[in-house]
Amino acid sequence: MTADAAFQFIVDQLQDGDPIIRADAARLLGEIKRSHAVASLTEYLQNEQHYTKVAGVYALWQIADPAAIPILQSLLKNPNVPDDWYWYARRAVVTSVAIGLSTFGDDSGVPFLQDLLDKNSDVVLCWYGPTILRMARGSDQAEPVAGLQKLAKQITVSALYNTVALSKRFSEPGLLTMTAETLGLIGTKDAQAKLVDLLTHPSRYVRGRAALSLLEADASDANRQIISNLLLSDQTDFVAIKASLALAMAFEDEREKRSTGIARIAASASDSFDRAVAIESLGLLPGGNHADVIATALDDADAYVRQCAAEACPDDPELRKRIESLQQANPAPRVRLSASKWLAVTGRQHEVSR
Amino acid sequence: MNSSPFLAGVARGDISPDNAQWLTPTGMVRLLPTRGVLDPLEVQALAFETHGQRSCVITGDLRVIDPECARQVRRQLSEKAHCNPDRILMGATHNHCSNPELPGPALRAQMPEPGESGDRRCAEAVAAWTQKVIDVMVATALEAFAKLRASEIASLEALVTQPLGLNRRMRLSSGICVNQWGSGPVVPPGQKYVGTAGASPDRIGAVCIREVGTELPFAVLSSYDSHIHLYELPWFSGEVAAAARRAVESRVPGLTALYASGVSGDVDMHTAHPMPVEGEAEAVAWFQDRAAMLGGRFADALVPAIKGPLHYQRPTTIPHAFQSVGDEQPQTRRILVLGALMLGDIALVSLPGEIFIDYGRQLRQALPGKQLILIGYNGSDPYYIPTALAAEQGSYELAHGPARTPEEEMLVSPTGALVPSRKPRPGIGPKIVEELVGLIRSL
Repeated sequence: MTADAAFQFIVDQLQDGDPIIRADAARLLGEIKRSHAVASLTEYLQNEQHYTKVAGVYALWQIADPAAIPILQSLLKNPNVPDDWYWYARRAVVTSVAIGLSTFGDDSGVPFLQDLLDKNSDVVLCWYGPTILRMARGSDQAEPVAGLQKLAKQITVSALYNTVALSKRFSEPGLLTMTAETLGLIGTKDAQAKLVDLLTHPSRYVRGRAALSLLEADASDANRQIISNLLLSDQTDFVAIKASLALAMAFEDEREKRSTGIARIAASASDSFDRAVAIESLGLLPGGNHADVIATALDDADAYVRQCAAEACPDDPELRKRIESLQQANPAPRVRLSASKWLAVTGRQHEVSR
Repeated sequence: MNSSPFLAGVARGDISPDNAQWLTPTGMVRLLPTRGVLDPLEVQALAFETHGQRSCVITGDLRVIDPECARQVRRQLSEKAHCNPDRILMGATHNHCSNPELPGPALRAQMPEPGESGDRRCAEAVAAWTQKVIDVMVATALEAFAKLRASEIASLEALVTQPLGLNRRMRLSSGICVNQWGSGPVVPPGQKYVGTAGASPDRIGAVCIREVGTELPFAVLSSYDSHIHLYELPWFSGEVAAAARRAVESRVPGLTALYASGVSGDVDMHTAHPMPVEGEAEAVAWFQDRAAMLGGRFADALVPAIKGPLHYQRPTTIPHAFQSVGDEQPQTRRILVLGALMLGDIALVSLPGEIFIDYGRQLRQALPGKQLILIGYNGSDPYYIPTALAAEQGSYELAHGPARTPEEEMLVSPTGALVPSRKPRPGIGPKIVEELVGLIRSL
């Protein structure tokens, strides 16, 4: 299968009957970053009435083609999703659109974001707090987004904790996990103190995220010791993976040992989600070690593990036939999508290099 | 020859509020004052008797059955129908266009007759409806007892083949869960969807009751594990449960359908979404259309099974079990009711609401050979009962966090009194399963 055919396969899935598959196709198109997808993503965003359309908005951020600006401006006025004023999903859609416009230098959505901040909304402080902070800061790949910098300055520990004691922000593990990610990006001493507290939370997902965030905030010797201790004491595979990943990302001298630990979990964990997270983590680590473990996971009984394996696979010509087989015959549509992404990206690289 | 045959009777009553415009349906907050009754709210009663043992199942288009209401109904039926109150099982459909309460200040401001006289009308309407539910439940059950006739009973399990109930928790790559009710789940940037976090209900359980000598049943009590509400309409409505009953009844002549919600804490019927983006009239039309669509799918699954070959039996005894904790201190403890009636190998199981679906699977696994019909929302105090893993993953059901200690299960009210908190207790799910398995095995 050619790279273009694989790319077109993903584009075609924007029309699938299942909104999760449509959203996954949009996510992968964003990761591929080809401007050819903008027109199809625009059509998808115009028609989609599920909140899952946020994935299409993120894709437009990543592709960063100004051709996306008109659809984002249109969605800011009319996101074309039901108004679930009782919950938060419509606000999340508009928030993603407002952030997306700012990445193109259009700050017309910033007043909407500021209003949510003034209302102490979980949407901007937790669900999109990490994104706003990252974009305002910039990275090796992206310039800081000026329109978000004023907002980012208001996302502080005191803003996050400026709420009543029984707020779900501090009791619901999903929100708390996002809060932990935000705290890591705030990075101050008081943020780190909150993260250390979260390392003892009853939810393994909160503890795992807090471990990553603590070392993202400050890869100090003291924090290294704290996470090493967590790795020794925590009974769950999930926290072991995240603590190992945190140490491996923060300290080069930990990388080999910790990636070996993650690979062991990837090969042996009884919980398929833990196996998937381990495979995903191996794919994030530089160096491409343990490709054999990732390749083995392409045949895992669990579809999400196979999907993560397809996305974590290194660009190895020997894997091409197996990935093509996944793309063509795997019964799980999202595995086929992820395999298509591999073929679209690696095939394109090889075509360019030829 | 059986000298004391198995008798059964069924009846229905209307509990629609008489002064709907002064009330607000509960369960989800409304922005608009109530317009009226879109379709009637009902209760149904199914009465049984054999060898002088009387028992009864009452279902209704209610969000919850208030524990005090349940107590009064049981007491009155004990006196008037000579039915042991422990043999009366009750279940709400978990309707979110029912159980009216006083409108809040924002809604009152939009309603006619401001001031004390209007407030008094609202309060009177709530009190009148509360009493109406008790009166109609009792009258309906008495009517069912009055209609007892020689009958036989069969259980069935119908496979759902079209989208109906959907597990409403979506797992994300960070391990957490978000809700995928309404028009789907939002994924934060940088994460991806893993898949639904638990099972979706693919079977409808039911018991059919037919008069001896006839082919088709005159009553069916179905049980499906799902929340039935679609949207917070400013109308009273029987929602999907009523639509399902209507669809089933329209296809089986002479049938009265009863609808029970089983273990539905993490399941919704949002396979009917997305809903229209704007417009009250469009929302109402969509609501009616989608309720009818889901009701039709429910009937598509259930009716062929009702009409198919079933193994009817005539129980000669109705063993029962019942336990209720918390009644002695109803202001400070949450009331938890568990119960069961055995009709041959069919167990009608009474349990609280908002239990996660996995506990239903555990119950069935622990009781092989028994046909379980789960009747949730039974007059216990309602709260979510998640699995231990769900308590770590989060989602709306865990919005108040898992209670970690008995002290955390209580909150201090502004008056200083201890009141039950809404913190879900993951530890109580396995306990409920264990207790029910013990109760049913003892019968």
